[in-house]
Amino acid sequence: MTWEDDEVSAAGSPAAQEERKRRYRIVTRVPTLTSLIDIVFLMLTFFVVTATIAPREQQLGASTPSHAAKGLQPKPDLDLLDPAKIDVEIAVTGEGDAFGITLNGRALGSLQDLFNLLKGLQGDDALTGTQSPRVRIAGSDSVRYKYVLYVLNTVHKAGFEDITLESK
Amino acid sequence: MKRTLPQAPRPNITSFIDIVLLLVIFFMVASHFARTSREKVDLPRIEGPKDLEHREEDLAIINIMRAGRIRIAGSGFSLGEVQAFVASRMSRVGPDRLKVYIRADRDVPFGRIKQVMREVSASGARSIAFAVLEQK
Repeated sequence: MTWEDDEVSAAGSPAAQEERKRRYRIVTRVPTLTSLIDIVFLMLTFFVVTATIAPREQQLGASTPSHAAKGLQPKPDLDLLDPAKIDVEIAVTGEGDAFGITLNGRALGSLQDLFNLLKGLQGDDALTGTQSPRVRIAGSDSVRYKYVLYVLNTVHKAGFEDITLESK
Repeated sequence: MKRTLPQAPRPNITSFIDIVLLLVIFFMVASHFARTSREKVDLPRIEGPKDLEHREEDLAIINIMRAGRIRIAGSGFSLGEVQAFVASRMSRVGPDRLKVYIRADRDVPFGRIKQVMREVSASGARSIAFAVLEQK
């Protein structure tokens, strides 16, 4: 029914007029939400897309030297074959795109070699039976930071928990 | 008697606009805060890193840029100021919970990281974590 129709039959009982008014209120009170929904979808899409682009950071942990120094003294004559000596010392040296690893003074060819040796140490009951083995990683000043973290990650993956990064 | 057509009532969208603007401002400010504590740094990419649990509020974030510059909370810091920063964070969070979180460029010489670590150690912090990205 249109307004004009209402006009024609305007004369009516007060109840009928009230009914017409009520119907008008119902019809005309629906707001157009299209633009609002557009904005909300636009914002939703924007935040979903930006959240996907931002890469998720992860962490590699180690102790600070001062904290670890309470229990760890460097041993000058570390020998992997001696089960009584439990500390593992890894040196990372290099410059530019090259880096080298030594484990208790023994030069290693790759990170995989380091991993295999550390895994072997983990399986050594004499080493792991009494106390948890400590690993100390010393990087030279010139080596790129990422190579030290590769080594740190390898040590983590080999299952060692007590790791100190030397800062001297 | 002549009656005029009534104006169709328009919805009052003021409160909607208020809410939308509030949301926009909130996200802008939140992303700004995220940017200031975490600078755009070329982090090392690691294969299958063993991730550690952390609470964001327990971190003392130190960014080390490619040239070795130190940036904390959006502003440049000298090496000598790092210790005071970590100490102030520690007094707020507590020495057991505080984790110093180093976000350094992957090609920075490790000597620079050691300098920062010495300052961190001097402040009495016990735990360091390094930010990495997972290599896909």
